[in-house]
Amino acid sequence: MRVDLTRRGGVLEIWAYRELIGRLVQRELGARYKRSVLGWLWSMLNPAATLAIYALVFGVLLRFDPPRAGNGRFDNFALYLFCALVMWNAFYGVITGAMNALLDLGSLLGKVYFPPEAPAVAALCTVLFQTSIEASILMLILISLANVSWTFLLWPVLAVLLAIFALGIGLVLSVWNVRYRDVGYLTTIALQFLFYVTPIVYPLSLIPERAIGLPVRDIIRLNPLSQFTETSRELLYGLDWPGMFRLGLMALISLMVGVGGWLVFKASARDIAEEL
Amino acid sequence: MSNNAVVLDGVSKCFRLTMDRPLSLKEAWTRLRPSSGRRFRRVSSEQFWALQDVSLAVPRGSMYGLVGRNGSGKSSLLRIMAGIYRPSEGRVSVQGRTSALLELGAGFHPALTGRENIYLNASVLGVPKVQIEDRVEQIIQFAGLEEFIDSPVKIYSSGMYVRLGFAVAVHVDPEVLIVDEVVAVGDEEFQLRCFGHLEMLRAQGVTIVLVSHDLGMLRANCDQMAWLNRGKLAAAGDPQDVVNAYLDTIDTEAAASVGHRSRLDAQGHSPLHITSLEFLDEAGNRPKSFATGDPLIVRIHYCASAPIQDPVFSLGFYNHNNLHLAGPRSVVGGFRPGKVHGTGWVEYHLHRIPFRTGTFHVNAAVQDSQASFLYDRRAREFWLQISGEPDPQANGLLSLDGDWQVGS
Repeated sequence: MRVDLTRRGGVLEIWAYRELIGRLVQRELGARYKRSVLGWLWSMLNPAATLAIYALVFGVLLRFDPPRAGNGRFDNFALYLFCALVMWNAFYGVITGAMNALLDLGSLLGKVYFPPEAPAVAALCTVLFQTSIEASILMLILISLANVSWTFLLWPVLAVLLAIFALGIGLVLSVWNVRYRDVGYLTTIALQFLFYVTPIVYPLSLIPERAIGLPVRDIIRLNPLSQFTETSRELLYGLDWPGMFRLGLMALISLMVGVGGWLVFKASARDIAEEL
Repeated sequence: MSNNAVVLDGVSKCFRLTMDRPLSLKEAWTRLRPSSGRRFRRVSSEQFWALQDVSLAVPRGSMYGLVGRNGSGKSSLLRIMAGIYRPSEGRVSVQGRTSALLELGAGFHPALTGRENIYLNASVLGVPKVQIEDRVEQIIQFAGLEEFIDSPVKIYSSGMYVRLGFAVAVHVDPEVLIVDEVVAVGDEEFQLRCFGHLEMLRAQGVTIVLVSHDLGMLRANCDQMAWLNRGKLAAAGDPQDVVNAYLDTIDTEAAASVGHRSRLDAQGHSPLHITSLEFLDEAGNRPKSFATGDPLIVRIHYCASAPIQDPVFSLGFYNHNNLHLAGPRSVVGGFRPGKVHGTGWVEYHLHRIPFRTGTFHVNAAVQDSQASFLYDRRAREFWLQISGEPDPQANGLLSLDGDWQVGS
């Protein structure tokens, strides 16, 4: 097999390097809870603690009212919150993970060849692993409360769409971050802002139609991430079918962001081995 | 075409030398707006062509040597062959799995243990997990790192790094092995083992591309060689020819640099300088190379700006490993050059060259008559080439002038 080094790269190559990606994921997961007494329990304690804090602040103290669950028998702010939070955690994890992974593994790129996407893809896989733990726990709780429907089956599709969406953004930010470290700091701020303009800790209905002369609720609704968190709530909490149109639109946006981000990355990462 | 493991076709590589790399968005912004940018530091970016239009083919199963002075683009070329750098122009293609050993800690992650790095490296090279699992013990043993293999590699010494790097690179069944001058870091014993292993791999049909400054070793082992001079391919083909061509320019460039540089100006007050060294045969010619047993005349040219009484000249012969082989001094045998002034030369006559095939560098120095003050010293500038077929009847660096006799 003759490889033309001048024109390699592509989706197939990432597949060819799956062994490396698997190794990176294993390493990330393995190193994560080294030297901690509770070890793997942290992967559950961490989101549980976050959830508890938000539920306390926004559900108990600020008394945000959750809608009734899909089976009509209960309403629970913590669960309502969790349905959106699991999406946010995945999004946040992929973005920051991709940025860190490229910086972390960058020095290797100057010594051996591997597709520069590999670190980001490995970060994605690591996050998806965590997400699936969180989602499983969430679904088990909901099932135990008899709030279950076939819409659960659609949730993994939503998660994959989010993964593509987040990877597209993460790839671009990670390569820019190599050139300008400011990108990393700006991203932290942007993510903080994004967290509050996405209906996660509050229901969208809580936002007024208009404020400071702007249609704020519509603006927040237009945020693609809002679609993911809202749809996740509908599927798991409300047991609602979001409709073909919305799903299709989300798929389209995800693919556009994913492919677009990858293309930008390809163009920018061409000579990244020389810059790291 | 298909018999070549690596083919480079018109490869050029351009690096942008950013004198002041914009590290932040602010700087990039000031650069975008030329009006405001002028008030800040000028950000200049120059192009540097590390390689220019290099075309070469490495035949499959051959050992291919690459020579050139520092900064001639050898490492860039290797990185392009390994797929790490992308050529700015031209095409590169490689047939088969390529394993590269480019520098210390070839692709190790400092925080991971040696064992984890073996797996990581293997997966980077595209080796299936099952295959590497069979090899791990072999690799650890080859590197001699049994005790440290489960410690993070950041605590490793540089020798350990290289050993592990080499061990991994050669145990992943590469079809093309690219080795920069890294093997020279290990101790003598490990170097021998490395070369032994390279020999073995070559016998198995592995293509090996090697960079080294050890011309003798390259010439003895390589099937073909290439010489890079300032990013351009200066010669390629038969090792003997390439080495000769390379040595030729080293001499002429050294001579040229001596001619241009006023050492008096450069060094200030020393009144006596060695301007050049010539290697002559009995007829007074300057052959490219000498043969073991030939007579040799080393002519030391000097330039004295003031009269100096009986300076002491000395020579030092070193092999490629910097082993000091001989150091004749002009005080032996009551030699006195008398009062030197202006330009002139002294000669050292060697009746019979004792050195066996190889490349040697000859240092020259001049001291005052009491040998207490060093006027000038020229090291690693003059190269003596001893060529000829290796004599299968003898070993070692020197050929001795002795006879064997039967005991009575």
